Amino acid sequence: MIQVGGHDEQFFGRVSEEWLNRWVCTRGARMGTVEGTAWEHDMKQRLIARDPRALTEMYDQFGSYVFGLAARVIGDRRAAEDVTQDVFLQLWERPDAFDPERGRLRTFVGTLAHRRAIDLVRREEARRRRTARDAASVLPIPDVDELAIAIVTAEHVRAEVEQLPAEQRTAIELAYFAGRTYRQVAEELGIPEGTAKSRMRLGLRRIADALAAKGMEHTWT
Amino acid sequence: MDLTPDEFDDLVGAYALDACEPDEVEAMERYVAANRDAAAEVERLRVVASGIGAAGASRPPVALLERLLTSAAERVSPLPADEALQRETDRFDAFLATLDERDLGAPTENGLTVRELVQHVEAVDRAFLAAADDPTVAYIGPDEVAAITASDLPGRVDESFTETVTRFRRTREVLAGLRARLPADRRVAGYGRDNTLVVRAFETWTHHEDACRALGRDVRLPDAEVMRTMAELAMKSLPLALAVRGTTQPGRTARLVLEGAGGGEWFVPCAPGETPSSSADVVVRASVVDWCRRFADRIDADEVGISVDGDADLARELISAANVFAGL
Repeated sequence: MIQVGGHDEQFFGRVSEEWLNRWVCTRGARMGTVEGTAWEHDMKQRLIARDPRALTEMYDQFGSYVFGLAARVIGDRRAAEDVTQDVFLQLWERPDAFDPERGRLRTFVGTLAHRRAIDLVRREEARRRRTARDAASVLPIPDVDELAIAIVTAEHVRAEVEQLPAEQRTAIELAYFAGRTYRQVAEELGIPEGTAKSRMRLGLRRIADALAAKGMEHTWT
Repeated sequence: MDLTPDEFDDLVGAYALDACEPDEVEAMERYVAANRDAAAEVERLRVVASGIGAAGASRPPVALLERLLTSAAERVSPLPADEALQRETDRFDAFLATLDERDLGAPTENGLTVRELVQHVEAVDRAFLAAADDPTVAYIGPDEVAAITASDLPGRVDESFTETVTRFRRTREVLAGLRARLPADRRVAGYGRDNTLVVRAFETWTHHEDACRALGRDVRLPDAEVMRTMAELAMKSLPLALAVRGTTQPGRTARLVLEGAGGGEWFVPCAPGETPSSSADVVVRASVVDWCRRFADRIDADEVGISVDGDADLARELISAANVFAGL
């Protein structure tokens, strides 16, 4: 049973299959190159032309992903809303920053969201807010489409994360969700900085290789 | 800091997780920009990182999309400098056409009457025009503006307002033509060519508001595109403003989010000539109108409504420095 946001696989099962078929079909990008999808190229051009429908479409596609990621990292719904808005406004104002030939739009959006979220967490004010947050706060209602993608992709990633040696998993989670730098991870775990870096690198590569072996390295682009 | 392939490999995992130090991030970005295989490896690991983050996908509050679309509609592109100047000129000109003799004698908050304010705008325009063809004019700043005003206005006491307006239009037309006449890299009294025109648009708006307040009339804001053009200048000038006040903070970055029609987001280095980091030491959110009025020294630092996330002292210094280039 997949448990995500209090809902179960049965509820999302049909959609997951649909998304699985859709996302898996984009696999096969050659190493060293990325072929942007027609939708990504079209989206970029429409954003450059300042088509508000493109912004809505992109928000529909990635809004839940960005908000969920920000909420998870920051632990504050209001701040996660600000991050979500800032990420989409950045894309709206500077669509040229996305290059479909160098990476997937979803990854790009996720990187923007994560950077802004940890940027906030790393500032003192954010830490204060995090400490003071309402212990009863809960993550908001899951979105079906994005959650379907999340189930398909995150389940594979999560399964691979579970397979990682504990020390690699801990280093990755401290960095990604707690916003620690590798130096802070090293200090927190009492290990040399080089070891912290290598645990992150080896862990991510191990997952990437495992996904590639399943033909899923770009399944959710 | 330039990376070797081994150093790239050492950092790539931490980089994909956004767990590097700022100088390492810059070095990685330079390396990746120049190396497609490196970029592909970063992308491959970021797909994994994003997959870890996707587990918590959650629907944002319904109202957020509406808020986003409203803000996006306000995030207009800046105008070419001459077009921004022309729009503010046209708005001011239309306002001048509504004035009668009684209005002209009304005192404004900077000590000039409404009539003198228009003469002042025209006189400073003329000084910039003269400087455009005279590279020996190093700078026209607040002191110079005050001196120009003091020397020009006494000789125009008997000038009819029709004549004042005619001179203003004529001078302004030539001023707006500087963008077409001068090369883009030409300095005009210490300002870039286009910045000169935006400075004059800024001053036109500011004095337009001064006159409206003096007459008890409603203040109307510039078009969003003009406001954005002026906000760009206000943001670009901040590192230098900090330097003028002697309060630069090398290596630090502020993210300023100006809200409202013509607003936007800027990553501002806290010392001149530096490249801003994508990781901000402070995020300041304020109204774009407030910030531009502060730039023009029409409101005090504590009148700018802001929210601050991060280094509050740095935020206060930015607001304090924002008005250092304001003249009369």
